[in-house]
Amino acid sequence: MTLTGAAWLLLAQLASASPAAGVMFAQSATSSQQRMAPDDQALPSAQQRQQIQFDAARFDSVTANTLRGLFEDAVELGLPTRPLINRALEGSARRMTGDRIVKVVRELTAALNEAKVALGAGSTSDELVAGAEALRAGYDARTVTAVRATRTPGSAVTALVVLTDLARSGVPTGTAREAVTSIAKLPRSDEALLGLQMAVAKNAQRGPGMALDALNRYVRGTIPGSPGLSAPTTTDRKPVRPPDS
Amino acid sequence: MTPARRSSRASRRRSLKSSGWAVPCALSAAFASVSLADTAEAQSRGEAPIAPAATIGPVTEAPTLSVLGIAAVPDGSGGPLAQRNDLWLGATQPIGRLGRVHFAALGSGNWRFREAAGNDAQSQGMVAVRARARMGEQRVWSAISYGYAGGNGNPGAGLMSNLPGSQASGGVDNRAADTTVSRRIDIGQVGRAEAGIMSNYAGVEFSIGMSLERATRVTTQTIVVDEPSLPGMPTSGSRVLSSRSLRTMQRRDLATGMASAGFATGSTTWLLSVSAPVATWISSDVLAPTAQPIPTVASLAVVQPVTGWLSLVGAAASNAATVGPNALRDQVVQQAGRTNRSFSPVVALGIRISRLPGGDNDATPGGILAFETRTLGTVDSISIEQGALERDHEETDTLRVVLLIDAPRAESVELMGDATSWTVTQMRRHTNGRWRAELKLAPGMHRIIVRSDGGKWVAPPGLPVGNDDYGTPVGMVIIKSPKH
Repeated sequence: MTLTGAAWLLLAQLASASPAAGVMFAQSATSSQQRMAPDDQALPSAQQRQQIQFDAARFDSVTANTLRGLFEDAVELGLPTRPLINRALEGSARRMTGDRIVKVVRELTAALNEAKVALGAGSTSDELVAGAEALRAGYDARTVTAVRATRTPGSAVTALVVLTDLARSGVPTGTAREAVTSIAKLPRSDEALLGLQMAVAKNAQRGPGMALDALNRYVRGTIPGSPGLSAPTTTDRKPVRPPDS
Repeated sequence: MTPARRSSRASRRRSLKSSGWAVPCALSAAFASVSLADTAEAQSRGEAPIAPAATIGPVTEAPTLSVLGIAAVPDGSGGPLAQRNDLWLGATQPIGRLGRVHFAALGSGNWRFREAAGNDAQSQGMVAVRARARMGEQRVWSAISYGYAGGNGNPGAGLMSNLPGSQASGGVDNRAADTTVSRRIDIGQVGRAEAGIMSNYAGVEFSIGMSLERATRVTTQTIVVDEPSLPGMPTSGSRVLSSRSLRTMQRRDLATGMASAGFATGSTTWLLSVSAPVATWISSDVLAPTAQPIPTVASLAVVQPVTGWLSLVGAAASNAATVGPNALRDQVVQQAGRTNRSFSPVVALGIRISRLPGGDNDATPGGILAFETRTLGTVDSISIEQGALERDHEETDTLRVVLLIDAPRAESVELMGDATSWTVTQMRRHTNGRWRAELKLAPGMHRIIVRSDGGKWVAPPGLPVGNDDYGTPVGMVIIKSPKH
């Protein structure tokens, strides 16, 4: 990469940098500067470059070049690029602007980097993506780490995906974390977790509070002896009327 | 001049002022109904519109019933505005599918409450069968329509009052008017074929189409020519010189081009449309008045859902002609400059009742059929069948995965996601209202979205939902490796 190209990429990233991606941007800027060094040790290897091949024709030239820089930075950070490429292609398919696509890819890169720290070095690409989704859904890194600890390496994908879905259904993050970590310890927990997701999603359409009720009922039914995770916000039973005196 | 010839000439003159007749309006479109509100001049003359304009309307499948009230509004010409109100009813019902072509039947009727001259009775009705299909990104439609209308009555006395003396007279020796149209029967029929294509671009649904129609009107009049009694003459009382029936026919062939753009703002649907005659061929019997050509008409319609099954409908058109009286109106002398004006606005207000719940009625307008929103199929659920592990040419483990989506009302279902590199992939119709796609997926997590009938992209129901970075939730498909 020429000096001019690297400087141009740097400017493009500066122009569209977001606060959420500040850390990541600092890293990418550093890596860009490293690529500008005379020795080519910091440059992505040929294999890595092959890994970040994507259909640049689906983007305008400015966006394509910016994305390529982001992907190269992700490679240097040891992050999988395929999820980033897919997210960019998704934006193109939905006819989003280049700025929006770059912003989403940058935020996902930052989240992947954070998930990598939370999940540990042995995590798979899918786990990183699922962890990044959970972080962006509002969970903190400790929750992701806790969920990871309940599963064997390479099998936390379902738990993290369900965790994200529960947050989207309106379940408080603390309650969702408790439910997922409890069920994740069970044998055949993936099926149980997906059952939890379906039960909550189905009841969430019935109104506020119903998702939490469904979660409590599911946990009580799945984990023997469980008292439930929180007091239900609603009840299906009618209040008992005191007998007339 | 023989009495017979005198009566023929007189009958022709009188026919210009004769009472209304009506022929069916192909009112499968709402604007067609709007057009039924005629101008004040035509109202006072008792001219009824004949047939239909372009119905253009590609794509309704919803069983709907619409009720509209229609009124003419002042056009700024200063001409007097005679009140006349119309009540229009229209219904649509899907009738089935043959392969990928969907059929629907449309019917409409119009009742006119007249307060102006004329005591004739009128009835109008129209039936149409419409076919539609999806071809890739585009939707095509075609329709055939038949309409019938009849007018049967006596011309009102007021109709004769505006005649100039030279037209009103004509009796022997220039005596007082002595020719009477004692009865007039109008039978109008119209047949139409139309076709068009519509496409969605940037959220706006554009539609263009063409219609060919033939409208005919047969008028039967009973002409009575008499000679009133005169002082000093040997005869007393009036003397009938002639009484005979005269049948004339008008015919108009019309090619109309139509274009529309529909869009939605929130739950409100808007539809802007233009209809213009491309070519007109008019022929009439010698004694029949010449049919009138139609102007270009622009119209706007708004549909606002109130509940899941009830919507308010409002519409306005620059002229009633296109859409209603576009066929065989008489070529009469213009009065107050209003008769043939291209700007002769009408408005309509009404309701539409849909049998389907709100969630099944997509707000996207379906072409010029503004009052009937398109009903999209909905994706009900998804199931995934996972096959055996394979190794592809890139030495990557993949599984043959079959996605089955329940969307029984859809005519097309598409998906895109990580597995398709985010390119749109058409699913194939399977049994029992299911749609099938077979993909080769590596074990792991894949994002996917689906849509039916070109509607909104949604996460397949039942799947865990990921973050909606681009404004729409995405479903997460988790494929497990058999090794685990």
